[in-house]
Amino acid sequence: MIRLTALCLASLAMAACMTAQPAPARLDEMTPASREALSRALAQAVGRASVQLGPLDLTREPAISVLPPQPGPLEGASLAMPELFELVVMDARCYVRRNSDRKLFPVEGLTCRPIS
Amino acid sequence: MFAALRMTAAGFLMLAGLIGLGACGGGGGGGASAGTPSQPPPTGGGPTWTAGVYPAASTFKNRCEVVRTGVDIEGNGFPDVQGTGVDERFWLRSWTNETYLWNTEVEDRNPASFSTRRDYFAVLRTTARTASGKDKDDFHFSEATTDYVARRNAAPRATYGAVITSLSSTPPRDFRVRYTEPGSPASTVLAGQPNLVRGSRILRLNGIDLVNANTQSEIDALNAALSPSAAGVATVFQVQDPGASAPRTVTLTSVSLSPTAVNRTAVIDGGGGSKVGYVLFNTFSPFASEQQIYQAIVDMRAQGVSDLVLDLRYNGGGLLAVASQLSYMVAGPARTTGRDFERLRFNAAAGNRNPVTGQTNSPVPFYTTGLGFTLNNSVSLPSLNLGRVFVLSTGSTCSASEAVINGLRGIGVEVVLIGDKTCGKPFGFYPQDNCGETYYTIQFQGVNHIGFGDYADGFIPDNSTASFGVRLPGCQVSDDLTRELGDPSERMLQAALGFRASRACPSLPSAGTLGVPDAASVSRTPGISLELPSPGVMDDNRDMTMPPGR
Repeated sequence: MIRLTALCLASLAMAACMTAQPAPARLDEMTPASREALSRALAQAVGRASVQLGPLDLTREPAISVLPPQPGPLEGASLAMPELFELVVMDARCYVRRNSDRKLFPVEGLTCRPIS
Repeated sequence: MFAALRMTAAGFLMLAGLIGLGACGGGGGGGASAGTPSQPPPTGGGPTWTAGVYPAASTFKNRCEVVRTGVDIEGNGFPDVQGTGVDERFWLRSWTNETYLWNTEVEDRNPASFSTRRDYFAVLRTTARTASGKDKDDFHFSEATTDYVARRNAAPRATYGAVITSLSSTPPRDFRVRYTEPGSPASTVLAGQPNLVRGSRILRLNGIDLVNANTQSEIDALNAALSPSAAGVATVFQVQDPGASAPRTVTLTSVSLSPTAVNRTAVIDGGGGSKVGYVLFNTFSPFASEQQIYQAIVDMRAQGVSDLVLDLRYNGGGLLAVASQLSYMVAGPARTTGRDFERLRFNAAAGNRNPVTGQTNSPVPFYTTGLGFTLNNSVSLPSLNLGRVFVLSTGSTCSASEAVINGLRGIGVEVVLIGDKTCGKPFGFYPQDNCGETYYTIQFQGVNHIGFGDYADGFIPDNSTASFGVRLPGCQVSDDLTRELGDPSERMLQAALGFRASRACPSLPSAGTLGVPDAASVSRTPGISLELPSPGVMDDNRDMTMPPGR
């Protein structure tokens, strides 16, 4: 019994350690509310009042792209690029993680689960 | 305001938006009126000018004569703090010194000796010329930031879906359909007849004679008909199609529509069982261009094409990243792996740093996956693995379109040029706001994998009579409005197919015998000019040529 308890505690500790690292995550479903929550967090991440998101299917893949401002009509050689993020989960909380510097930004009001 | 930014090479536009009859005046918007530099008032405790000494631009950034408050239409707050007009001009001076491509060719003048930011910005450029004698820097101007931001947030415009070119804007006027947008009122087919076809000449609008009208009220009515203010406006067009003996009448109702990047594709029998792909790619600007060109190449690959004709004749450029993706999809991994699509050459003082972003100056690679504009970055791009590509070109083939030509040449892909001289814009910039004015100044030159980027006088087909330009194999051929784009008998495409078969330029009938009258040969009387409006957002022609005087 003692050995079993110790084993359980060790397993729990290991699980805790594992979830302390952000893991790629997905959503059960993409709703307008979840898109809004994501957009809020991403706008904060890129320092803009609002953002437009590129193609995404967060029920299957964690990749998120934030579109740059639309190039103006005179910008014939525009270097504009989407900024890429990933949906991750850590300690049961959702974050978006910027690919370029791995910085995490919490997403409030969103429930996500690790991609198994 | 935007009419003042009219582009010289833009002779056409989506048949919608603003008509600019006589609306080609000077600047305005955002800055004080232009004028001769005058002696400044005492500068008090402001910055002082020492020739050749440039404080960091950040010292003066956002120190504004007039401070903006609140938020812009995107909801972003303004960074402005109270400063002076002299502060703004000192920022321009230092920013130019830090980021302008030809910064060493700019005469250092005292910002306090100029009365407005626009006056001062106008002299912060090189006055050198290219080999052909045109201005080395012919794209240097500014506009009100409110206009810049409003335009990039504009909703799709009301349009009939036809892009029109003006062969003559004075009586007898000659306005022709250049092409129609797929899924638009103009391209709708009724009883086997598309509402408008390439080359259709517009004779009357709502009964008013477009060819000969010469009163202001008629011109106003034509303007209103050409430029529907909203979706749902019905207009009666009387047109004459190429080769038709009689005019016909159609009624088109305007819709809100964005231009399509890939307008159409075709697979043409190349003889001997071979297939030639054709892609009319009109703009790299909208984010949708990524997905659309991807899908076009997927289709070409599925159909087994062994040659590709890229029709870039109306493509003024846009996103360089999409140009890179397209180039990869043409050339394939064996030719592109470990090579650069384009390297950015900034001014010498920048070293290996991008002086605008402050980051390391990294080359643009040949992208092999989606980038997240409209194609997920987990999607691998297909490739045709071609060692040769045919490009159809005109003077409207600009910037990112030219980057495709140059980037492919840099890795040894043969580019056969069919058409006319490209516009010659190997340069780029980052529009920059300061204190409510957005400035455009050339900051980088794009060069290919082997370091070549000197095509400021354009690329020209090898048999061109032009004295200047980078010669490529191919044929000089004028645009042909009498055949639909993608029709193998359309002259430019016909020449491409002929060159493919024989490596020689075929003898083609002239435009006149194909039904389009030579506008220059028609007798004209002075009259009111009906000008097509300036191109709107993402319409076409990102030619960076600025009109004289800007």
